[in-house]
Amino acid sequence: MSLEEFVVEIDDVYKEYTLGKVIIHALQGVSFKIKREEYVSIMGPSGSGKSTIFNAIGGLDTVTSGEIYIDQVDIAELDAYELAWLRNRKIGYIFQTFNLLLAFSAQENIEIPMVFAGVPREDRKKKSKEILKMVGLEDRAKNKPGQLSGGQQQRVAIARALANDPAIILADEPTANLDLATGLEIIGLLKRLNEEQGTTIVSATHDLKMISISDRIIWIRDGKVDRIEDRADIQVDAMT
Amino acid sequence: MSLDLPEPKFSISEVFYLSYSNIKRRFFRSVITALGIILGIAFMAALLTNSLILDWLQTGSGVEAYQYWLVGISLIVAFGGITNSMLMAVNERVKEIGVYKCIGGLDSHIVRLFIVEALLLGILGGFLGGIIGIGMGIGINLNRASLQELSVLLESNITSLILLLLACIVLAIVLTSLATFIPARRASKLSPAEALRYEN
Repeated sequence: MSLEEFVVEIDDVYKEYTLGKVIIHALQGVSFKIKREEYVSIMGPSGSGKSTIFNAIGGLDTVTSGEIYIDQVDIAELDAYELAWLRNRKIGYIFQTFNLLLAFSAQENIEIPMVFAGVPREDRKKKSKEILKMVGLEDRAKNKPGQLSGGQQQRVAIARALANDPAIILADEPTANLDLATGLEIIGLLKRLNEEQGTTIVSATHDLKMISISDRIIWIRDGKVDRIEDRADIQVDAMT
Repeated sequence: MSLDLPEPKFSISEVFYLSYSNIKRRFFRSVITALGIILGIAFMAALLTNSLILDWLQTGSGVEAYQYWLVGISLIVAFGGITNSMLMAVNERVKEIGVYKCIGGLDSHIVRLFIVEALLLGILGGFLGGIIGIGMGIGINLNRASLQELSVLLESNITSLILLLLACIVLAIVLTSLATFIPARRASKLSPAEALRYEN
């Protein structure tokens, strides 16, 4: 196994939590690996465990057992400070609900991860402008999220995710709150980043539009990996 | 496996800028919170000023026991009002704390952001509340002494009044900071996923 080849490795991951008196087995022994520069979609019906996997890979939530490596780092062994560093530098997150900071302009939203990373002000301004241009929003730099459409907000979120040149971009249902055309635009943008910048993209989604551009699709069902397909031999299952 | 990371930098000016932006965006909410602080502090300052003036006027009976009771109650009102406003203000922003965590904010960064906001509101609320309260305390004594008498009296005791104003500001800062620190620290300890899911 080449050490550099895999940017994400998750091995036999279990996640249980209690809802009232019921124990929910959200993940039941999930294992897979994601190569650098890959575009992978994690697909499955609602409640199958997609978002739990997203949270686990992103270090946003703890798991009950199993190992998760991001860039060869076992995230279970990181302390709070190291985890924050990982979220800051190694991972960029995109959410269904955009989750921008409403008090700040588009450009400032992109700068804040750089503030946490200790990037000097001048470099931040320059970099954030470049990224805004990359996502096609250079004329919206001063607008606050409330003055932007859903698609534009998601572009800002993508730009924010790119701020510290992460090893991987994690997207949780990035198109679920967008109409068909805007969703396609966002998917196109993600694909372009993947091809042109070589950014690894992992997207939890049930948007079938993602299938045609993904290198691989990991189908999740009832907290387990159902099957993993390469783009070449994908058969769209109408049930999922 | 240790990552051997550098120390994080988060300069005071950045913190102030972020906190100021947050107050500005939530202007209406910030005004309501500030009003809560002003009201509590003003009530207390008015009663304390009244007691002081009665004392200086030497009305014979001096400061009566009920005055102490009133000041005690006003302290409780100020404490309750300010703590409640600040607790609410943090509680409705747990999701925002989750976002800060996702983009790499340390728990200490997040707590600092909220504390600086509380400080700014505390200084403003303590100052305005103190001024208003002292003014009211003077006002309610206009029937006991003439304006001229009062102004002579106040002039010779100006240090006490300034000390009272400073005490108002300090009390407001301590209460706002404490009532922010505790819930902000608790929220920043949540995992980002929990904080983002948080419903208020």
